[in-house]
Amino acid sequence: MITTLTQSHILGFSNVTVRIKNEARDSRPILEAIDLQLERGETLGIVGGSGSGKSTLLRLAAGVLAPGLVLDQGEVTTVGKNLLVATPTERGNIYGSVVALVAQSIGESLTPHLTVLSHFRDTVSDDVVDERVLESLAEVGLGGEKYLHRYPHQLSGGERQRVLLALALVRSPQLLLLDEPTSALDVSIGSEVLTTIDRLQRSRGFALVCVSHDLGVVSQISKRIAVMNLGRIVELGQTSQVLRSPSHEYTKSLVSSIPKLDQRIRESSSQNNETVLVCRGLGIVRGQTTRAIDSLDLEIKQGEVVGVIGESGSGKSSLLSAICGLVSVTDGSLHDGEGYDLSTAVQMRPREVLSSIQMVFQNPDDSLNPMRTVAQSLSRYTHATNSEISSALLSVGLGEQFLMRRPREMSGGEKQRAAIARALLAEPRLLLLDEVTSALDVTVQAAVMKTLADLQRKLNIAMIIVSHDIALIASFVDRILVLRHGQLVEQGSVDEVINSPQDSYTQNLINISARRAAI
Amino acid sequence: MKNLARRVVFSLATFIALAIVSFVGVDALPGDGCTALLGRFGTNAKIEACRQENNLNDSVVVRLKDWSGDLVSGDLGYSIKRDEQVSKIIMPRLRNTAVMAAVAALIAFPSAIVVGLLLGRYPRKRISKAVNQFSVIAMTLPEFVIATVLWLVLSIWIPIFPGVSVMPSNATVLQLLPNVWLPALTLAVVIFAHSMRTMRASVTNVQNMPFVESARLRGTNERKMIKRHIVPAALPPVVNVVALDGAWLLTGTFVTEAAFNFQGLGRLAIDAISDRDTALILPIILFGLAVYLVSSILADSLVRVFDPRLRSSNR
Repeated sequence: MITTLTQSHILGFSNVTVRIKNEARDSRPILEAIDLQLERGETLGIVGGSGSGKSTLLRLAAGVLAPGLVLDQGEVTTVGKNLLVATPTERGNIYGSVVALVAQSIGESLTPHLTVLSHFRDTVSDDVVDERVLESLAEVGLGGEKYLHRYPHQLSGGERQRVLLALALVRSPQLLLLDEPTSALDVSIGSEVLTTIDRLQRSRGFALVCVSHDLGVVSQISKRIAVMNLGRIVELGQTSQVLRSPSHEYTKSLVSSIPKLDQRIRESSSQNNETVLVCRGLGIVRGQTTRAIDSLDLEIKQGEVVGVIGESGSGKSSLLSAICGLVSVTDGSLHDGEGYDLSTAVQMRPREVLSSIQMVFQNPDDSLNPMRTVAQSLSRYTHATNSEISSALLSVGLGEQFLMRRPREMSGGEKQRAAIARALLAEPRLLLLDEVTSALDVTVQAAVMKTLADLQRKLNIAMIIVSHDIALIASFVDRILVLRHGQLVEQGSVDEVINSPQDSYTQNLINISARRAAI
Repeated sequence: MKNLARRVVFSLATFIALAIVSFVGVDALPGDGCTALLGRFGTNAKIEACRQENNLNDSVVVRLKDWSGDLVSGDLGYSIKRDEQVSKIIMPRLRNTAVMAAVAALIAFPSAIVVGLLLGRYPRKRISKAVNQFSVIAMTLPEFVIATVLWLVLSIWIPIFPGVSVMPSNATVLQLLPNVWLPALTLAVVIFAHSMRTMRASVTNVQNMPFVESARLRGTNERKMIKRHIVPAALPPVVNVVALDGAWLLTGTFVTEAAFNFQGLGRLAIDAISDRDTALILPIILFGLAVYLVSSILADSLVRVFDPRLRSSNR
């Protein structure tokens, strides 16, 4: 297909295919036959799972191709130029003034030894710097001079993202490229950042391409959406139309995988009166003085699933760490159902207590030893036989062929399933799940949650699941706890909390989630 | 600031502890100042008389007390063998070694940082890899081999520098200078390779970091990029290596000084050890200790200048 570019186009991809250098021609390309045009002032969202090629596409728009990749065919035109063949000086003249890209890793995208003001001095000359810098910082919601002399490590995640935005926009580019602008942020902060981006786009009128794994994020700030899967754009259209009547299979699964507040994926199981965990007036102090958890009362019955929600720093991970003995309890009491004192550190606990409480961590890459096969990892402390391991793997949806695989030969979802299987092999009475799906694509997340729901029903174990996603929690648990700054601000059954939240923070989370679900 | 004070106190404690260990250790060796002085010809009676005269028959604790008391008041001790105050023997040699170390440092460190930066910018270029490989050779060759090669080239084939220094240990700095070049160059080769490789690796590492790409995508020009973003981020590991190498220049030059008969501290240490001149060995050991402790404090303080995260107490 041949596309003609007109003057009004600010970005054009025509039949672009990108491959891994020196790889056989019949292997799947990273990007395949991409055709895409963007008009001046237009907004486009690109959504897709990991490995879909969306970040490669975005970076290609800025003329950046990762080492090891080659443009096999086609042409990319950014503001009338082919940036891939431009000299470094030509590109330097375009970056920041015509095209700006804000990369995904906001934690590392600011130079650690430079202040905010010094970052601006790179591209804005000294004599005009102060007014313009203050103006752009105010525009992204960081008013006042107090931010000028801060170093990146003195800023919160949201503030860093805002500084990066201000830096990108200070010279009024015509095209802004955003890579996962909210993936490193808490839900409520991410939502505020998106509102800021939307406001700036409307007032300044720059063209915007935003890449995200989250359909909710891109739909909030873009009129058109491109859905990518396996290097191809499988669907492209107006946001509302794509969301309301998705035509491609992948888009359909993407839309249906988004957790909804009013949709249960797990039925409440029979609970008996046997408790598995009791804590009274629990307090945890981390570091010198930070109170991670403050006088928390909690009782969990066998077969009960409790969801804990809160933003980062709310103490939700500290709670899990305390239960499995990784951080010490400062005040109050913490016991298991047998009355064993769980304020004992993990090294001191007897074997039965250790196996009765199992935890699955957020990132399977950090919790599975990369040198070991799945069979080795799973038999290490459980001393399970191969047939026991196979059946545990089968229960989380992994076939026998995974026994001999190492983590690098598995996808993120498969790795997390293996980690869950390992926890189950210890036959726990209480399973702790710490953001277990936040590193996974939304379609994979849905499948993993489904597996967990099946397992819970079959084994009737108690679970505590921690997440920042209130819809995910609401679809899965019996009871919700909302934590804020270490305080329990709200608790109740799913219906109580979702339908009549008492706390303004819960209210806010529900609103954001509802807005996203209503897209 | 509090951190620095704690470091200094800790280093002082380390110094005192090791000074005591060194004293006792050297004392436990067979032989003392009197056997060193009288050598094979000393009869038991003569040695005993000499020990009597120099209070060497006192217990270790008493002598340690005397020695440390002298040390605190600035008296480094007295060499029976050389019949001279230790400070009078050491000071001129220390000056000679310091001049040689300064010349080596001035040749090696600035050039290593510049070359390391250039090579680190283009880690995939053939020249970059070649120089990097070649520097491994410079690092692994024993100093006497480097010394011999330099001597052959710069003293025999192209006679620029004197091959062996024939100056007295108390020569003036001007007299010293011609003799300094060959040993200084030998040392410079070793520390250049070391610090250049660290700089190259550090620059390569830093320029792949997201903040460098982020700055480039904002339109920062290359000159500013190197000056403001890359170099300050790349220097901390190099500062540590420079501090270690700098300390080595002052304390680890035995082989090089011996190779060129350079009258420095290293040469003196070898002589003192072969003479069993314990009074002279101890201050040299303590000097080495002090140099390493001070240089590591200096390096840590300097790294703080480059990295604000280490400076601030919040977060």
